[in-house]
Amino acid sequence: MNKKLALALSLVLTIALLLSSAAVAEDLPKVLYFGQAYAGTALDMQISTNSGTASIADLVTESLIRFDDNNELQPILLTKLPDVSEDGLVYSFELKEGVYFTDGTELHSSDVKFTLERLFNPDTHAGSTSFFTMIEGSTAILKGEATELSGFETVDDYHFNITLEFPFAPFVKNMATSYADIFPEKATTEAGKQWGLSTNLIGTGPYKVKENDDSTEVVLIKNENYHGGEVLLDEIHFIYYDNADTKLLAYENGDIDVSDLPASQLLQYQSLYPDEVHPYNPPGTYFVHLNLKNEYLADINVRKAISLAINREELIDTILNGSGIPATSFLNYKIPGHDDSLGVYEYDPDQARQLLADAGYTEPITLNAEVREGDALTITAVQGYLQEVGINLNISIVDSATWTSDRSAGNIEVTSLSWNALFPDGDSQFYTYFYSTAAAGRSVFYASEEFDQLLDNGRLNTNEDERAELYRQADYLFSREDYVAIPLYYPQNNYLAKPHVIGFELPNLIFHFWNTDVDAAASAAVHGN
Amino acid sequence: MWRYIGKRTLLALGIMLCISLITFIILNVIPGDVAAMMLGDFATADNIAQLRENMGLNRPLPVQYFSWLGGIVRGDFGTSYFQNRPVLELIHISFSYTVVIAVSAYVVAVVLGLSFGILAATHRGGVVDRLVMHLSVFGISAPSFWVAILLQLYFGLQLKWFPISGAKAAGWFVLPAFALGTRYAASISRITRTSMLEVMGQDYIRTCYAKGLNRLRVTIVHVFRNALIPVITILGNDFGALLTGSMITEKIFNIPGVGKMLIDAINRRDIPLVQGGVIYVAIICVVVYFTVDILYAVINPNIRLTKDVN
Amino acid sequence: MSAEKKKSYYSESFRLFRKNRVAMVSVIVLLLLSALALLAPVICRYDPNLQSLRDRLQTPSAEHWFGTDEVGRDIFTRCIYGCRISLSVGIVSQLIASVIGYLLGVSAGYFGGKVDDVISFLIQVFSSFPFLLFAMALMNVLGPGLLNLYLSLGILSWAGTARLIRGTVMQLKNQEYIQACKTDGGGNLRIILKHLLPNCVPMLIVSITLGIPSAILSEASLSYLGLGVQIPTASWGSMISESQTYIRTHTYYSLFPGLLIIITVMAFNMLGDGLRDALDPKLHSGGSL
Repeated sequence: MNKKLALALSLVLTIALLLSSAAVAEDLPKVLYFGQAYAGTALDMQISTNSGTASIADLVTESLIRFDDNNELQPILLTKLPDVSEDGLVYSFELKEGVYFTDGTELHSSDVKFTLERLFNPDTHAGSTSFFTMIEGSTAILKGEATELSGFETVDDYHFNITLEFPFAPFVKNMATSYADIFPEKATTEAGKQWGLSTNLIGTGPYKVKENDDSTEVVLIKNENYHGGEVLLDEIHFIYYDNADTKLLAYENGDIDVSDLPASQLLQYQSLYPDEVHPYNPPGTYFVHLNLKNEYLADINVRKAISLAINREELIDTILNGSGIPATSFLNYKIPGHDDSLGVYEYDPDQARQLLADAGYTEPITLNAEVREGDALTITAVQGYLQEVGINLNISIVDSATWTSDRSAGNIEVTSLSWNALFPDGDSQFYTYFYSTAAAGRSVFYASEEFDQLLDNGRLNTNEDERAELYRQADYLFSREDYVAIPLYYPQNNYLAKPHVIGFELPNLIFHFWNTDVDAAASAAVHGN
Repeated sequence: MWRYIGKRTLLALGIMLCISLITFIILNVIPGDVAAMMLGDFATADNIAQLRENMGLNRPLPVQYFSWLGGIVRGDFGTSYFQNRPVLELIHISFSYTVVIAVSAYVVAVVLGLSFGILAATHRGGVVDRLVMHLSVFGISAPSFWVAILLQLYFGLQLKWFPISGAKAAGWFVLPAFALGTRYAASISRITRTSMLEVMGQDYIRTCYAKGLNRLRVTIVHVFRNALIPVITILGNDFGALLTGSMITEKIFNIPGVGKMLIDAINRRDIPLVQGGVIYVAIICVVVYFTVDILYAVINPNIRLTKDVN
Repeated sequence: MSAEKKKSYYSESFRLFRKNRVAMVSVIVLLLLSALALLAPVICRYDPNLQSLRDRLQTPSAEHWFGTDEVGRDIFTRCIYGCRISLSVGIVSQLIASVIGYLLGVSAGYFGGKVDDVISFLIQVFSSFPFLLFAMALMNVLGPGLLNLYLSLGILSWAGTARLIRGTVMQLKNQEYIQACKTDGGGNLRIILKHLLPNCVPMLIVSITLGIPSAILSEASLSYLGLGVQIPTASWGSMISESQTYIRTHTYYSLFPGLLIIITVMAFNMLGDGLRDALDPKLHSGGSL
């Protein structure tokens, strides 16, 4: 054959092929596959407080306000952020007009009222009521004494006011959590106990539930009439894996596009897929939890010695493969009030031994730790450090249910966990765990009037700068004077994402795919369809 | 015959009652409060107390047990605490996966086990025999979860012959079936070999051989038929073990079967789901044992049904 | 059995057993493993629980024969110490099971009647349990730990032994010398311990030996699920579970404990087979196969 002819022919063919593949790419559905553990509950964020459930549910049901990918508050179903009265008690909301639930009903003030009343209804068994009990009249509903929320005033279909019993600075932020997702009154009432199960979940969000077998997979499909504009993906498949090792193999195999990556696996996957590992920093703190009622731990010298015995930098470099920032205090560095001037906690095993000796502990002391499986590696490392200074730590690994009930019964001496703020606010990270009443229900038993007072003031004060100062003081008292807990590091979590996943950001623990897109052609090459 | 069935059924009911009682006691002794689990990290002590009251968890334990038992008698297995769906419905869904794995593991076990067993018996004392027998000891000795991990890694991820997890893609059950089945294949091959040798040594078979009848035909018709009995026994005995023994395998291959459901239910303290699942499995086991007894009679009428109730 | 007969029975069994090469090899393997387990502190240069975070996940070398694990502990040392756990769990739990199984089995077989009915019923209940599930539940109740492993595996696996013993005793009790002993005014306890027990010993030996491998595998499964020994105690099952995380780049880490389980369990299985053949009177002098 003529050489030129051959060249021309192949050129034509190549162009034709490119064109046709481009044409196909246009038609290819954009599908994202995400693997996560199954929380075992309905996709109803009033019932579940699980972040895995939220990553699905928040794409279907939306809250009035939410934190965007930069952790900034954004009005979603509102025209603007709510106005607050002078005394900090009354919040006025204005709904966007023309927002429709996917069952065709329009969003009205009555839906918001219904949603809040359902949240407080004792039959709902909501786990997150404590975020909203500052609303006037909520306690009466919780106690079964009322069915109507007296603090909710409907002005018209698009305007309503919420009155609080006392000023509460982070109220708007609490309303921006998944627990305040708005449900349509009609559909929710009709679904009854089935709400959130199967495909019984209807919201205003960018996606709607197409399939849900409540055990292996949930398929979300694009909401064509989304009030927030064009939705990027055609479908999102949430595939449940509860064995993390299997989930990562599935990622490698191309079954899923995105997966979180435990720190223990970081090194391995960094060497296998360096371009697909991405870090993110949730506003949380990994710490060793101490029970101040324990005879040894009641002694501040022992608590201080524990802190001095642990080499935080080494711990992060080794078992975490570098994915963490050594803690300088309890409050995460992203939260207003964090004091940047504090240095990393000192590592000085000699001083730790000295402290223990001075406090009269000449024999090694024994403490019992109870942790969940995911915390085993870190507490094992801590065990190694404490052994060096004469503290024997017995570790039992228990399941979540045992751990939760032992902790609420006050039976845990030592444990370790990561405690994350839902949003960057000192109240969220401190109050639910360490305020005296909360601490008594969590095996901490810290009861400092000064600390409580600072947290109380943080709730009442609406000036953000003054609040930051209050949390700075509370943090210092907690972390550097009283050594209530032993902060180890601010976690840097990691996730894996295939190169064809575009625009995925992770500002906090919940995997939200609000702004995520995929390169359909590249994705098809991986998934083979 | 009918008397036997009646007696057997009564016994089975007694056993199940006992199992349900023991399950109930154990689950109530395990530390961990389902109400606290359901409400999550932010619940207050008041929230938890109220939920316990609403769920009827504050009633005396005997009252709880008998109200559950009353439900079972009416065919109501109760409702899962976490998923808010009828227990029976959840069991049926998960069973549909487990049965597929169990049956395919059986196929693997029987095909491999019988052929290896026959091979060994017909080459008795030779190299083949020894090789097969050693291989089978190896098969019995390997922890199935370890085999599962290796199969998943090699035949799934490396060679991409089969899906590595889930129950959606075609051929999903192959690797779990092998992970579970090889173990039973090993015991079947050992028993097949022994029982075949026993039968082959008997006079009437020797006579058949001596008469010059087709060796293969003799092997298949007489020897194999008789050797089938212990094989059926092992199938019957292992069925229950297969149904629940697939727990870890299901977890590793991410299959929403009964085993995984039960592990999860125990971890969440979803008592109605655990109770229902255990009873359901027990019922199936009893039915299978019963069927095996009948099968005995069909294959070998000399065995009388009433001979061995245990 | 008379004393003389007993003696010749055991010497004949021993003779047969010695001729079984496979069984002898497994005895040697098991003796070796036991020696390793007993002498662990002498053999190992490292503390099984001593961490050295800077030396984590090293590949096998002269320094660390099997490499190091995720917190820098020597895998070889942990494998040897894990041997202690596996062997002791296997043996102790089966001893517990045998004692329960023997006592219940013998009572059922010997007394018969109501006692037999009740015990037979219990045997059936315990053999209809989904084993691993109940072991899980029991470990959840008792909490992790070696002692609790012995107990829960022992409590759950006596039914098979009891059933065997019951059958044998039912046959034995009608034999002349037992009947004679009875009419001579021999107490029940005396008969059970002095006459029935020796006859059941061979059977107990076989059932213990063949029960050990299942117990070892169950321990491995429970430890894999995090319900076995307490950390940092090394157990082969928990090592497999921990190593699964690193299997993509450090496959050898998972291979060592896995192969050790297989070797140990195989040895016990083959020993059990050998013992069963050797102790089977049908196979004594003149028996074929």
